[in-house]
Amino acid sequence: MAGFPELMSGLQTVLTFTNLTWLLVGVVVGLIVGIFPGLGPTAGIAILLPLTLGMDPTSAIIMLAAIYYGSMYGATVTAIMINTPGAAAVVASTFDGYPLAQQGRAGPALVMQAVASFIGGTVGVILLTMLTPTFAQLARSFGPAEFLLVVTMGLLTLVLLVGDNKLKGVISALLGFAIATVGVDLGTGASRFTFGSPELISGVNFVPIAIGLFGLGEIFYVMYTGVHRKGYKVVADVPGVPSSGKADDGASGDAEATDDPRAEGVTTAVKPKTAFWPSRDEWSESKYTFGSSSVLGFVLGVIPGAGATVASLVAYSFERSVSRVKARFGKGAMPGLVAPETANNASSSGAMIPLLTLGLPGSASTAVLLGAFILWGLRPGPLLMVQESDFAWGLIASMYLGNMMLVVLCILAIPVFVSILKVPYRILLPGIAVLCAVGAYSVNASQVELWLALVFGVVGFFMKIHGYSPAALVVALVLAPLAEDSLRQTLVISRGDFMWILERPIARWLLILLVVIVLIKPATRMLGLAFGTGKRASSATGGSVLDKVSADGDAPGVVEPRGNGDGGDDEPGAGSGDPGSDR
Amino acid sequence: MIKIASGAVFLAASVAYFVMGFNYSFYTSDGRLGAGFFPRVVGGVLVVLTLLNVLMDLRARQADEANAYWKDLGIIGALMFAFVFVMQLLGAVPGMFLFILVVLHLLNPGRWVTNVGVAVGIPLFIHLLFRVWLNASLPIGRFEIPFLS
Repeated sequence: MAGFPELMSGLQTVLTFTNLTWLLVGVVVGLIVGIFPGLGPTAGIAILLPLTLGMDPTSAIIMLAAIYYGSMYGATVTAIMINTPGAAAVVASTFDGYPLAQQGRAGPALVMQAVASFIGGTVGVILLTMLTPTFAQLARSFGPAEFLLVVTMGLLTLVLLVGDNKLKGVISALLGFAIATVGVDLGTGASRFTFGSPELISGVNFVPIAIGLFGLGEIFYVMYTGVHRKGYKVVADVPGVPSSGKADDGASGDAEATDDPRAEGVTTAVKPKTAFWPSRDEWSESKYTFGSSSVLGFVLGVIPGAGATVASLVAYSFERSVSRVKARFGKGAMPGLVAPETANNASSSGAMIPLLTLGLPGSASTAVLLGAFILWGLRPGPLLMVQESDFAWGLIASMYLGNMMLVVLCILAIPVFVSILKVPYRILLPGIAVLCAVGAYSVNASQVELWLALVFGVVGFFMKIHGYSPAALVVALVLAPLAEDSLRQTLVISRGDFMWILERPIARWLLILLVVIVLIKPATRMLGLAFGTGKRASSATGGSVLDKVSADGDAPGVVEPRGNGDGGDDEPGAGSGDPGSDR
Repeated sequence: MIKIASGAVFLAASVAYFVMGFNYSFYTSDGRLGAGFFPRVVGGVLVVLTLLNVLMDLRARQADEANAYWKDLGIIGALMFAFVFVMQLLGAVPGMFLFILVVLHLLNPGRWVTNVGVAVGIPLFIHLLFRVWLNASLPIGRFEIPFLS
């Protein structure tokens, strides 16, 4: 079968003590990054990127990719335990995960999410193995026009399909484009917007910007919402996790250190100890969900810009419409947790296809991952699978092993990871802040980049609270050079005639896809209105699927200490509609 | 108001970017796209959209969030800027130690043992991880304090 001989060779690459060690480090860090409030996979990968500079490229990318998909597992822990999605991709997991925890089923919910994530991740990697050679072959027939269209498609999906405020999404993406024009223009050799600074000649590095937007910006946002004072409401009923009935026991950002009246009502809810494993009925209710959500998640992951958030929400919606326990959705139905968990992990494998074969990131996390590839001198694209076959297949093989490690770690070490939530955020905050600063500095030992991270931390904070999309900015920043080059080459080849694009068969299909992307959301809304499904969706989860992305889609490590995630985008504590950050 | 102000900042930045884009040629002498093509096109669209954005925000004007922790945010934000200065002056480890100690003193008052433990432990861990183990760069400061920079 296509891809499997290459996979075997990839396994040989990854099965060394060094690579396995870094893989283990990556999955553990990913889990912790997912669980840590105020630290999402984008910031996690960006901060740890400098640490990999002394490593072998394959080990480095294996570790960074493990942080990416490992964080999907970790982020759900907070979604279930404190109703706070640790990543936008697990927003849908709060709909039924948190009610399950409130009913004393946190243990089974956490086990089921680990199994669902494993199945989704593994099915996704199997599909990735089978389809990558085909996609790579297809990508080799891509010219500049096709690349230009795919870049446009990725950005449009990010902005139109998953963004909260389209206008602000487009502005964010254009800001990314604008920042990317700083430095020497490779087409003409002119220095643009460098203001005489030698540090800016090679352009603005995306790492400090990602650290600023997603690391420091998130810290500022968390402070703005007051989590450092109020803490979280932890549902402590997981076997092995010590629970307490007092709010001031030091658990979960305790309130006693403040006299702030707004800190009232912070409690650690105590539930009776319950079973650790899901019941037979829960397995039975979810058995078909694993398969359908895996395929759905993978397919949506392949579309640049759609990513894990859309995949998880669409899978949730699909499951809600076909499940035999649909009446319990939103109130603690296990398939309602299994569907988004399976889909978001399958989609993180799917997202590797455009990343590896076209060099196109679909989210901020994969954009930073792409930046890491480039930092290592690896240019993802049509030729990567040929020229760096060992590396590419080693990475894919490592994802099989990484998912196995994650499911074992998740089930065996749930109490340990849940305990992380008991560290008060005010203690974590300065540690995360210094890590961000050190990470931003150490890529190029540059003071300018340190300041840049700080400035973009402030920018990211304001973007987040006012509904802009930091994810669109980072993705555009990474894609802009490719877009500019492709546009130039297309115009040269076509002699300025854009109609020439229509003569190319693949470009024609891509154009049709672009039109579909532009029309899909209005069409979905119209269909919803026509069939009256919008109301039902609202009653279960507070909004229709894609609207739910807008209302709740949040940036990495988003902390929303109150309510059920149904606030408007301008309220502190509510989502900012930036699911492209994925995560 | 803050929302409108942030929109206005983006508008100002867009105008500046668009205007500066005119320093670069739109086309090269052989008729290809010049260095100013992208800045002018992107800048022009940005100016229009950010202006529209400010106008829309003005129309839907809302009161600023009353329950937000602006004071804490302002203090920690200022401390972060101070931290970067101190780190440039004294080096990474002393800078991190002072920053963490001051932040914890404000957010976690009266718990000196915990605060000092965290303030010593985290910089030490980062120093060992970045400098010693991975040989990565950390700010060394003006005085280059032995073992700590």
